[in-house]
Amino acid sequence: MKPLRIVLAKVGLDGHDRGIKVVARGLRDAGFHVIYSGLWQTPEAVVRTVLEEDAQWLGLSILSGAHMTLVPRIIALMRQAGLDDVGVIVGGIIPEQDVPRLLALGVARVFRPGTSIADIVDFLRTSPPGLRTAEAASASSAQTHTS
Amino acid sequence: MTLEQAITRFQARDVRALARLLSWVAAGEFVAEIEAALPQAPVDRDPRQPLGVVAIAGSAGVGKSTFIARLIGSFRNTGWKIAVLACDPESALTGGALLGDRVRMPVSATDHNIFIRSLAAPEGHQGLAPRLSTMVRLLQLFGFPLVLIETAGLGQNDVQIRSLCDLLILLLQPQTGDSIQWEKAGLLEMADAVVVHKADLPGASELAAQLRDEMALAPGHQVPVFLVSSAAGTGVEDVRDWIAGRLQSRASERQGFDAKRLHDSVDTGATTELADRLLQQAMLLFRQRLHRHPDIVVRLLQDPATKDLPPDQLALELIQALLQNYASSSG
Repeated sequence: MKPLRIVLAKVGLDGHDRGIKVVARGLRDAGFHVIYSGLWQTPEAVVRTVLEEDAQWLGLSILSGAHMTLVPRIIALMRQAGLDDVGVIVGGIIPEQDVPRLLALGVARVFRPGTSIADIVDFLRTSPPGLRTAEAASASSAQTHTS
Repeated sequence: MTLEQAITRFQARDVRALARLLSWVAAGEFVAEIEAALPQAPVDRDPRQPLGVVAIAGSAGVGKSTFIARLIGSFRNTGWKIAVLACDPESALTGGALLGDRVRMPVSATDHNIFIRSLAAPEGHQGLAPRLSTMVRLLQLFGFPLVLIETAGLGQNDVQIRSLCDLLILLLQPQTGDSIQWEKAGLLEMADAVVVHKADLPGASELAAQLRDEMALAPGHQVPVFLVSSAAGTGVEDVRDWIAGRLQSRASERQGFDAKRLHDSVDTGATTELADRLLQQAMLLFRQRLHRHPDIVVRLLQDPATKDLPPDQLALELIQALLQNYASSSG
């Protein structure tokens, strides 16, 4: 089977990369091809990386509180570049009330503190990539709240 | 995206399609179809930017990605379009890979004359992703005359890269091993140039001097030794100018090449670089073939019709047998 390719990126002024490195290593050990972009990426640079690397997934790690500024920008750029078939997951310090708002933007899943690597691996293996539509978002939002 | 769509969009210079075709080639899918769909000659060639494939080799941690990032900047300053295929190792156990070369290659998000792709190099592929030559061809056809290949940290004995590239640059750093390390056979004798990287560290000029001594003893072509510090940003332009110069002279040599010149050069021993490369490559192919089919030699030495022939004639018989073997099988 062809390994799934995922770009992992830190966007904006956020130097906390312990979490994303743990995820990168966990996904590598689960057989993924992980392209790690490094710290302080701009939304434009992240979208360019996804495009050039032909990744199925983009994982964003944001611990700076700027997720409601950065994620919409990235998703808008992805739609503009025709990358609707790439899925986006977000991890980091994301307040619970922001989760439905991120899902409504097209994010497939938000992984908050306490998530295990196995959860992320299972999700990526069982979910189709691609930006989510509004209906999918509300269904997935309901699921997140009951779990 | 279907294969037909990808090829149409590739021809219209759509980066997404290029990326998808590279994925398929990397995974070994549709390779024959893609190769068949590619035109024979590259389009829109700028004579000031001849085609070239430059491999950057060296052990892990020597600074290949950082050096490539510096080279990208330097080539962009002189207007070159440049693509990078960055290989990192793939786990033999899980098939997973952490491809981190981009971390060291921050490029402008809006400069579309650069293209970087990370590739996983499976175990046993000498630090290289499979089917690299098809990927290089795709990049060149898309409009990147210069392709840099970053190997996944290789050291001694990994010489497959030689047949894939026009120029092989070996990176070494000071404070690792004494001069005996360089005496060992392997990459050093394959390299077209050696870069002493991290030249801001103590011991760099001593290492460069040792290497120059070593090279002076070796017969054949001159191998330049460059001192480069990516941290201080020094020495990069020298390497860039050397690469550009070598690619230019190679392109013009190939253009003005004729049978007489090849004949003369083989005859007099004053070989040109192209003749050198052709002969080297032919030797390499024969050697590989012999290695895989030692029975051919055994047969010649046992066959009453050939076993008592003088060496010259026996060699001719051997070439013929190898060629027959080459024609009848592709493996």
